[in-house]
Amino acid sequence: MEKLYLDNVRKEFGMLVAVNGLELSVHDGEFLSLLGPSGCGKTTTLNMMMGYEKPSRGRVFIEGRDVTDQPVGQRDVGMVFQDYAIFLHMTVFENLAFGLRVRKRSEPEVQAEVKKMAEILGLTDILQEPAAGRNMSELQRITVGRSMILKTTILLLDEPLSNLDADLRARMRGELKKFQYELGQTMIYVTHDQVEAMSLSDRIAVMDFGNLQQLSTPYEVYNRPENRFVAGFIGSPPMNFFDGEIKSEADRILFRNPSFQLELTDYRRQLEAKLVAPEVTLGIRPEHVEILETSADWNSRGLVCELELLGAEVVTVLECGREQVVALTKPEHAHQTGTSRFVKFDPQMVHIFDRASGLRVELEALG
Amino acid sequence: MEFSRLKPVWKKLGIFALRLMVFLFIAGPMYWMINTSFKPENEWVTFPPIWFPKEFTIDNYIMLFNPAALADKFHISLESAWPALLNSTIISVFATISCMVIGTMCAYSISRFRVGGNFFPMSILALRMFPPIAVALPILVLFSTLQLRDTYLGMVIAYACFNLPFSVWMMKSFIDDIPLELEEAAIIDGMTQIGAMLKVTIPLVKAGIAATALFIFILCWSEFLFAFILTDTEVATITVRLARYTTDTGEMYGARAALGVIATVPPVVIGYLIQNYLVRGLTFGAIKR
Amino acid sequence: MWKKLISFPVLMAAPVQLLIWFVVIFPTIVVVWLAFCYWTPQTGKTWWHADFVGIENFLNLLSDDPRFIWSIIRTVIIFLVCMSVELVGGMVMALLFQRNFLGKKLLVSVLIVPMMVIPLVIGQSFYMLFLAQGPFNQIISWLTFSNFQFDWLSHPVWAMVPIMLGEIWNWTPLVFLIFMSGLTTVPENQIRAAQGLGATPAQIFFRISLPILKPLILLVIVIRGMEIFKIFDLVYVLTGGGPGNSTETITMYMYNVGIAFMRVSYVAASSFIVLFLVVIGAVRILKPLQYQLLED
Ligand SMILES: Nc1ncnc2c1ncn2[C@@H]1O[C@H](COP(=O)(O)OP(=O)(O)O)[C@@H](O)[C@H]1O
Ligand SMILES: [Mg+2]
Repeated sequence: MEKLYLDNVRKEFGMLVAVNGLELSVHDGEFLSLLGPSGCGKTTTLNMMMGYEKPSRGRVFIEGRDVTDQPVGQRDVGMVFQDYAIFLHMTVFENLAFGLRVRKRSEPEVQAEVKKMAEILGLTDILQEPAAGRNMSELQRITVGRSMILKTTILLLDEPLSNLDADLRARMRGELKKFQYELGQTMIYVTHDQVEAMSLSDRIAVMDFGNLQQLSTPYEVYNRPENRFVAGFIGSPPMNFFDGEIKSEADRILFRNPSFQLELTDYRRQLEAKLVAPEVTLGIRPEHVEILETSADWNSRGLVCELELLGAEVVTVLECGREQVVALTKPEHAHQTGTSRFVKFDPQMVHIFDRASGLRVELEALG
Repeated sequence: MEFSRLKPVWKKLGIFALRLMVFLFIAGPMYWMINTSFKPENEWVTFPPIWFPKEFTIDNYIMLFNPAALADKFHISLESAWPALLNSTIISVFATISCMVIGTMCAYSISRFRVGGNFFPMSILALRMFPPIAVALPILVLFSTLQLRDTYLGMVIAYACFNLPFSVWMMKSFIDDIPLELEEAAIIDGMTQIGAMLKVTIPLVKAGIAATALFIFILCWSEFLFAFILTDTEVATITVRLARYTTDTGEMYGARAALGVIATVPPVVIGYLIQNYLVRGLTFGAIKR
Repeated sequence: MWKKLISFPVLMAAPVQLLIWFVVIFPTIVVVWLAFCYWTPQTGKTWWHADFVGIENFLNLLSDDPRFIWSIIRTVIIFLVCMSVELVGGMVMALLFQRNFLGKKLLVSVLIVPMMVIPLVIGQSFYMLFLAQGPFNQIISWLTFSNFQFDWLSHPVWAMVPIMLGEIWNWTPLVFLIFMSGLTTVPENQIRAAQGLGATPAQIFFRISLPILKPLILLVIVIRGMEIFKIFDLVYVLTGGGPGNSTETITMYMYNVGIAFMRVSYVAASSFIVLFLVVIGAVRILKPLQYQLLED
């Protein structure tokens, strides 16, 4: 049975549609991320799962029960807030014990549970300290522990790491994954940071303007983005996009625009079956762009106009006619700015999107 | 939070009933005062009491200001309330002005120079804990010796002093809100300290001064104990007059209610004018809503 | 230049100092002097020539005058009862008016009137309400289906009810306003978090809001306490301390003995004791408040 199921859920704030017909199911023990830019309705979605907001339309099911009309706190769902919302007038212990105490659990049980949770989170030493004045990473662990201790069916986390600085964020990411694994907790994790989503999740739900754009594994989301938005949103530096047309010339099939030409003859069957209109957008990730000094088999020529060394890799920006191409290469293959180079795309790795609808035209593995 | 709107009907009704009870508790005594002030003599005390004057009359008010006109009807001659109103006004106005002038100076000094450290401002606050009755007696003795008893000056001095905690602390909280940098800039531009205070800071706390002054006016107007002890016939205030209606004239409920209503009008009107500062005043500036 | 700056603040504070010396400190010294003397205006001597009697006044006061001790106890009782009712009532009101509803502004502006009404007028009003034939008894009659005509103000114990109710009526609105603005400072996100953790509204109130409001509650207790201990106007109008001396508060007692009966040096001794208690109280109570008031 699904742990959580959103049945065509919609939320409007006045004229604004914050969440639009969201259909989502979450499996037991899964780590699912809601990924999307700020303001796309992620928090609103969580609020509807928690009960802070009532959907304008649609139902919310938890373990098969319709909880749409159940108030907050009675749904067996826990939530970790973006701003932590620690009870600053209490000690760390009292914060962790809060949920158990309001449920009137026996005091020995509370003590034992808190102790256990504190050990997992490394808070044992500061249990008796006031919560005010703890540092960010401690606060973060307190807020996670406070919700996790209740062993709710589902734990919702709203950008729990966004207030931390980079190295701490990376460390907490690892720890969070570890807790989740150890406790087997079903988690729904909201973030606008794709690296977090990619590294933590079993599945990712990508959202934009209240619409679910894609729901699949991190691998799929990265390698087979279902539409232009997902393709552009996931990956850094972002995917290159070129508008152009698919044309048959003699026995060849070509993608063409004033600056580029790419042969797609290998995908003749797929294209003939799926292509709606010749106007398409071609997408290619920077790591699949090759920059060559000489080549017989190139797609375009351009001028190297920007270099950005990232350490292990280097980002090169080329001007190819009216288009800009971003390539991600090994530093050994760096090219001087101002030099003229050939650009070659890996034809196995291109993504074709219908220009009008933005939907992916699947090129691979057609039966 | 949307679910609060889905509360069961009985809960909504319960909350409504509680609000209504609170309203009735607060409004009841006020209503009764007004109600009585418009009743003729035979309706003042009856059982069951009369909740709305059967015979609406403004005689009670006329009697306050022109007792002679109704002396026959009530077989009693009340003193007119005019002198008391006048005395209260004079004393309150002058006490407020004095209290504000010296209080603001002191508040400025405390706020800007921390004069007297913590002890001085706290000791002024402690003045409010000080039961006036404890010194009322020696003040009475002292004022008699100095011939200040039953004079405007004596009352003004007493009121100005006992309202200092309010003027000093409230003005301190207003002056604290004005950044010191403004004055420093003015002094660098060649103004004197006094000039900076008068031309920079004071104009910026004008609203605060007005609110504090009106607040202190209410307190002076409402004061009873000192007025009762330190005045006699010459400068008896409205509260003294009101208290005397109890003893002098038997149970003139109508006149007492009418005078109560009239005496309450100025503080209530002023109270509404400075509504946003009332809490700040009554908590000595500690709560700045 | 420097010298001028140093003396400027002191000069600015000087008038206040002078006034306090004249109206408070000098009379206090007189009180202390008289407390150790035998003097009334009838003795014909000026007060600074009074006969020194040592601690006789104090001995009489503490050993032979239960009236004085009782007035203190009574005042403490009034403080405890009124303070609790005002705190609880003010908080309940604040909770009732936390949410917006139609007519809230209007209702609140009616509810805050009592704090602007002259205490003496409140006394007059409650006097009429609590007459044997007054509307208060009428309401009780309605509620109990009887003919209830009780003379509240002439009963040695029950006469305290109108006094306390008057005080409560007068000042609960202030407590209400303070708590209402205090409740808005309770962080919304903590309330949501508590809800999410399964706390009921009552649990949220007692575990989140109340602890956060604790400093405010203490402030209210101190500020209201200072006033309640001086309660006079209401008592004077409602009972004058009677029947007998059964509703005398400290101030009422000192008024009756010192001003009405002119036992000046005797009441000076009681003033001395009260002032002594006040000074101890002031130090105790104002110390913690000092940080709250002078922090910035
Ligand atoms: N209570 C509210 N009232 C009105 N608009 C809201 C409310 N909550 C959120 N919104 C709007 O809904 C949209 C989605 O918000 P949110 O779910 O918080 O986005 P995210 O968490 O993805 O950044 C935003 O445009 C936001 O302004
Ligand atoms: Mg958000």
